[in-house]
Amino acid sequence: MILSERPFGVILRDLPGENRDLADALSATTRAGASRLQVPSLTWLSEALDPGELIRAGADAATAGVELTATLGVVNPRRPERSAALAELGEGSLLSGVGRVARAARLAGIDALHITVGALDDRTDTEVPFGEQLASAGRFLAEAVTVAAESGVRLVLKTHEEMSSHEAVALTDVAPGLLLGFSPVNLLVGLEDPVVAARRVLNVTHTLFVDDAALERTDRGFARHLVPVGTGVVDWKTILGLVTASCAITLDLHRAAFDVPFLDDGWLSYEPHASVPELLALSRVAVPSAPQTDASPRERFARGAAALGGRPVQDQTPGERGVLAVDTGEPES
Amino acid sequence: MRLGTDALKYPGGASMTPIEIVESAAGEGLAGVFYRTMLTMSPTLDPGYLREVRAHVDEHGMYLESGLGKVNPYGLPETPEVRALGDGDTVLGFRRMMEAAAQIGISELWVSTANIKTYSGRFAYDRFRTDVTWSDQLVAIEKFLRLLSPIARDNGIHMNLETHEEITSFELVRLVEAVGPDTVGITFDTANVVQRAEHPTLSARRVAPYVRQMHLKDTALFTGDDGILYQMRPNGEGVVDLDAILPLLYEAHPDLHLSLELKQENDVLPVGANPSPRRLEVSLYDPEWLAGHPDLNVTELVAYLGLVRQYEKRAREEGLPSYDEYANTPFDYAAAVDYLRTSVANVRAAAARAGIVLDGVPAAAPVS
Repeated sequence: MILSERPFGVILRDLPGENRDLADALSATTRAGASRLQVPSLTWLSEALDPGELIRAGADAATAGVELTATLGVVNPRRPERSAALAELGEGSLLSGVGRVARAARLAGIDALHITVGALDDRTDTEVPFGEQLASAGRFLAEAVTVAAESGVRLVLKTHEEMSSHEAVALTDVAPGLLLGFSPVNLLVGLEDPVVAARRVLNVTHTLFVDDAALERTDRGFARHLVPVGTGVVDWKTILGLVTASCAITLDLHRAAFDVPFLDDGWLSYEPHASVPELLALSRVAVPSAPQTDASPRERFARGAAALGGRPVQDQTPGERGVLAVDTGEPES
Repeated sequence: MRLGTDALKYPGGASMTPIEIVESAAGEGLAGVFYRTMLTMSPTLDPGYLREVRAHVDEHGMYLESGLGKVNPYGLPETPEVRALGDGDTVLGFRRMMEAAAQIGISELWVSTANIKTYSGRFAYDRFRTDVTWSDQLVAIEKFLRLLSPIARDNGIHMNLETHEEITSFELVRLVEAVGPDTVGITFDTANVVQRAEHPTLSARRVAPYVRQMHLKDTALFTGDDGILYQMRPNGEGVVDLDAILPLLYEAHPDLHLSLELKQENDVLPVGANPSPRRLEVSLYDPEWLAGHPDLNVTELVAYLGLVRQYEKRAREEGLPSYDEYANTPFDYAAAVDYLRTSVANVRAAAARAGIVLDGVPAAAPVS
């Protein structure tokens, strides 16, 4: 089942093999049929952010026909421990850190840096309410977007598990120029219907992160089980039909098996955006027991890449390892 | 508070006279009888017979409640006997029922807004009629109640709208407040509300100020393919939390009469009715169903889905019958009597836990 024939990207951590250096990673990327690679940081390309190394990395990627993009990290001034590495790059200033990484990114030919605001438990933080964290992040991002733009780099905020699409869109209003990385499987943990959410974020989405999940009905609500793309509850056909032609598409395999404990007392108070139609939409597709599908990263990568138009195994020349026969470094089952 | 019974589905009631039902209910230790309409006691409103029913009730120290029928002008053609009672004048028919009720000391009269139909899914409910919208029906209901209100006021009567299958408790409260609680109240059916995706305890909180009559009923809820499956169970064995609801009703109305609504024996269903119960499904996932419930909020829906989940867990752990197992179990007279006695025992136990005295006649020798 091929969901899209548009160019797609991959995340370094999902690639088969160890990929200790860029050359290996670029090779694995092209073998998967992908044309974009998201690396975990600029320092992964050059630990010292050396201009020469960064320029060479960009050139190597271009030669391989691969566009580079990178993760900037967590940007949450109210949770400084999550942004320590970035602040260190800015000699103690988070904003300077963003500026320095943006300049480095540009040298490597990278024009988009991916950020998140935190982690799922930030929503229920009783010391710093999530609303305050969002407000603080919004103020910071308004400046950070400008600083990054000075280097021709855009900041892309991911709809991470802690972030509803409503909140993400609100941040783009507070920080004009901020774009979104729309990750539907993450929004399931906040009881959002991926298709409805897609319509909300459509106009400000830079990257569509592709993954899939099944929802199991449990005594606490739902449990999210990650499954191969196309076998879960995300209506990828509809979502891919909604996003703009310029939207980047990236296979992004999540690891965390979250509970969605909406039946727990008090849970709803942390999810003010939850709605009747979206809860019913998810209830309709939830299943009574955990899926029996093979959800190993190896299988999910192979099937995800194939769904995005990666070359299926029968198209590989003899001896070449295709996406359905790649080595993830994991033991055979 | 007193514990009695609705007469319509009383075990063996279909072949009993109203007075026989009174005697049988008294024998079961029940404190009152609730006849669905005045016409079910006497189709001609015969004053002599109505006085005789009253006398039997009084002899046992029981309460007597009744009703008028449907107050939805779009559904009135389904009850031509009311128009006939007024010799073609429907309002006169209602007036005659109210006057007859007042003459035997009945001041609380049940009314409802539609009949459930034998169709599947949302079309079982007149809420989803395609020839007239529900909002138009609500407007007509309100206008008709305003027409009847002066008659009710003159006779010292309250017309108590039931939390019937087709209407929400939100809409009922608005109707009562629009027409006026001096003549309109609520008959709270504790189980019907789940067919509108309401949590019975939350519904009870909403309607409590206006409740004047009761249908105490319980239900199982199961996850179905296209929604939630509804199936009557004895009081105390379904999802209705008597421990929560009885105290809050008692606080609002310590003199409230609790009338059990029972499951009817299969062998006395009207001719033409399907003896194999069809699936009553709350069509939650149907977009038309959802669009027809603008008052449903996420807090209530979460509580409702939790109710379903809790019941399914309880059914698993206690080995309770599944929907199909229960539906396929013959429900004869003996089963109906057992259903009644189980309900009585469970309601009395819940009241006792809450420190509520359910006064009434002491239990006598039960019906054989």
